[in-house]
Amino acid sequence: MGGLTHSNHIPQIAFTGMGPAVEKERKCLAHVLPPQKLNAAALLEYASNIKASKIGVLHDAGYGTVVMAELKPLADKYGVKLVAVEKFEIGATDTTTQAAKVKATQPDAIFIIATSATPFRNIKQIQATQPIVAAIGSSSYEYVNAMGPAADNIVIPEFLVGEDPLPHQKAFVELYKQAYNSTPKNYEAAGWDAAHIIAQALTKAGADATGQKLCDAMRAPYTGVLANYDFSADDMSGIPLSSYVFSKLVGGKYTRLPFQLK
Amino acid sequence: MTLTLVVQAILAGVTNGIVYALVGMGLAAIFKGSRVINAMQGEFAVIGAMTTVLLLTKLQWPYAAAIAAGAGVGALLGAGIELAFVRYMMRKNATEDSFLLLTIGLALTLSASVLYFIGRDGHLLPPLGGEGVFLIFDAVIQIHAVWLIAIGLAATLLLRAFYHRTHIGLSMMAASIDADGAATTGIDVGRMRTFTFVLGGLLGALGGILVTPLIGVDYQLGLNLTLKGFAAAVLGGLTNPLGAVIGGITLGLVESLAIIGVSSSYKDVIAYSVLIVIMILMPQGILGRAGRRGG
Repeated sequence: MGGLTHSNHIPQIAFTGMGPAVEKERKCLAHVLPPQKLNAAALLEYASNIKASKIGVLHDAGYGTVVMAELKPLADKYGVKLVAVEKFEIGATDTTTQAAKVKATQPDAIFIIATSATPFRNIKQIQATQPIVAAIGSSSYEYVNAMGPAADNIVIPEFLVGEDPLPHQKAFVELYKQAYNSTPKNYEAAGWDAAHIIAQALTKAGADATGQKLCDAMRAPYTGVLANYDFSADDMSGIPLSSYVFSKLVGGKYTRLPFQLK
Repeated sequence: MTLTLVVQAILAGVTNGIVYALVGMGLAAIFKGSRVINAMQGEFAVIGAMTTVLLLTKLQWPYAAAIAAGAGVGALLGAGIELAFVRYMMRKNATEDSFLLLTIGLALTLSASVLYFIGRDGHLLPPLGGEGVFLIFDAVIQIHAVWLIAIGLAATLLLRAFYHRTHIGLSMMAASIDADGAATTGIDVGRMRTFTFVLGGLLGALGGILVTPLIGVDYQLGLNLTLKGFAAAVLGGLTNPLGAVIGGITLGLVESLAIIGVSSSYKDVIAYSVLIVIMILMPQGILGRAGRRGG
């Protein structure tokens, strides 16, 4: 889609971080979620905070591989050694053996980077006691339900903890709850921000603005519910590390940790 | 590599192997009775498990009753598939390719139906024995996994006894080996084929209900299970339920030992390379000609 919108100067908002290198040329393609490098950095920031110097990683062959590609070069910078990196295929019905291999290296903490509940269940089933840190891709109520009793003692760097929102997020959370009778997470907040980003750009460029004029108007800072953006940045999101909040799943419920990045 | 890791890999491999075998047994049973390769075997597992989940969580049925109902729904679905589609196609002398296409289409339809009516969420069932585990050289196996292995093996033995010691089982075998000959002895071949699909549906649903406490069930699970179950069934010799168990355990162990012996990145390459070698050396499956005869 980016190829089409770029060549036709149609503003586009993606609900992902910047992906392939070609996207750096697409200045009409804004990203309302962070690049994987930032997600990797957030994981490592937390590990550094809890003084975990040996990390075991369990990741899937899709999302997990992309985040891992950014995690590996950053690990040294944070003084962290990746003592085990085990992969499983997307849709895997069991990752017990990979989880056991990670546990056997006795890491200080375990990163799980996946878009399924399976590795979380398996790591708990083999009674790994290390802190589990998950990537934002795992943070949804669907995964929490699918994790069952394993949805406990898992830390996630993300942006919105609907159960305990930051002051600037409270109004959105209340509005969402009234409309849908459920608590929003990151993607819902990103959707809200996306609509308002376009609205701000139209306000700036004029209601009839289209094409490149609208693209140019979009490439500006925006203070959103999810994060503080700056679409003039190279990664077309400009989300800083300080936008992350850290949640902890306790008994299947999200709680916001006081730990925050500067 | 520690002893704990090796034991953990073996336990995981056997557990997964029995999961594959449960699906493979249903595939083998249906192929044995109708010569139809059932690409929707995994969907029987999904439907059976989802039925149990819904009865348990929405209608608060007792767990045992919900399990029985889930298995029953799987059996009925099997019967429905045979009566509505397979029987008609048999009358039209459809080829094996056509039946394969039919079951692929039904698999996609059922998966989409689950997504539409139930949604994307994954669901779990309470494990037998609760969250308790056994420790073997510090390797962990859930009590439910032990139950799964035991029930899977019991189902295999019961199925074997069914085919060899019951009138209806022998009639089903006769109908599959020589339909015309069986008909001349008074066996209702059409009814035997329906029973075959009932059996396949029952086995599939049972498999789904047993694995759900371990891996959860969602609309996408069926295809993954079918692929692994098919590999298990073919590896063991497609018409022999015992072969599916041997094939399933072989596949599960090769996968898990490849992870600890080499690398998780190459698990599938190694596992399926081993399977290819086995099939080249034993093209009739591990149980060989005895498997093909349904022995």
